[in-house]
Amino acid sequence: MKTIQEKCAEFNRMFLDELPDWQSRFQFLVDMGQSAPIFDKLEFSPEDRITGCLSTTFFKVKIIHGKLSVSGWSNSAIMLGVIEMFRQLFDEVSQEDVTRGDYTISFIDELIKNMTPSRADAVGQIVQKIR
Amino acid sequence: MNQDIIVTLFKYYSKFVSKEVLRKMFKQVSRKSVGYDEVVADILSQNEDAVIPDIDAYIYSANERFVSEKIPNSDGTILFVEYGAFSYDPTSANGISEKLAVHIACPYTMTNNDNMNEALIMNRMYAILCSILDAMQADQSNLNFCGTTKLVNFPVEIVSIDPSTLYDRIGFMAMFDYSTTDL
Repeated sequence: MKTIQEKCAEFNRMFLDELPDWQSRFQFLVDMGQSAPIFDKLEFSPEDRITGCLSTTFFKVKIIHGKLSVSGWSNSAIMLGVIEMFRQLFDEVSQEDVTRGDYTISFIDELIKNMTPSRADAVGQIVQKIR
Repeated sequence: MNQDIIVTLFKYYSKFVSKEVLRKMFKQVSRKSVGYDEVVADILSQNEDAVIPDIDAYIYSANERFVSEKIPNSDGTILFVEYGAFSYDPTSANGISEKLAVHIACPYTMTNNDNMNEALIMNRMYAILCSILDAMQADQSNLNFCGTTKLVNFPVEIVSIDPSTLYDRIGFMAMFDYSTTDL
């Protein structure tokens, strides 16, 4: 099983180096969202809501036996893709590994820089929930 | 706080327009603003449940020069959303309000036209405009919008469009306020 460092490095490379421009990166997120497992919106409570009115988005991180369980729901294809990206990176990862924080998610920093303010804020909230 | 009110409305009204029409709108601009690719991807990934097939062009602008170039060069029925004046009060709920004018119009010339034909065209334009307003009313209760946002404040004023004021187009224009909060 890959470590969180390896998974993040892979995502950084794929997202920033292999995808040629932001058009294809956002399309990648849309595609990712469309192929993501479907969570029931009713699983989420108001505390899981990512605030902001552009779309309805929920993101939840639970700790089960010391490991992160990541899930989310959104009515926006891009935000579904973002949720799926975080799920693939952090689901089943030990809390200890996450809090140690010795991984780099530079693709997220770049993503935030290339989003509209409300969306950038929403992704920032997701990062905070993970950390 | 909704920092993206202009983009939010651009996206909202795009849902009434087919992907085919929308794709033609997005040119290869030389200097893309931050968020351009995100908004395009978002719009083109929306489901098409609300699309009104009669709409052949979508114009969302507060820029008279842009409008004066786009409308005369558009064929068929246009959805033209004109925004502009704001009222801004960050201290009260629904304190931010924007005046919107939603036009549904199509080309009309006096040549080879009669009064009956005009009435039929106007009837069609009115029906399209009302279907948009009905959809907005239905969306108002949808979770996409915060409780403090009002897509439309009814009653709206609907006026007919005189061809001399909109580049030889006839149809109807609905004027209303969109309001949201900055608390």
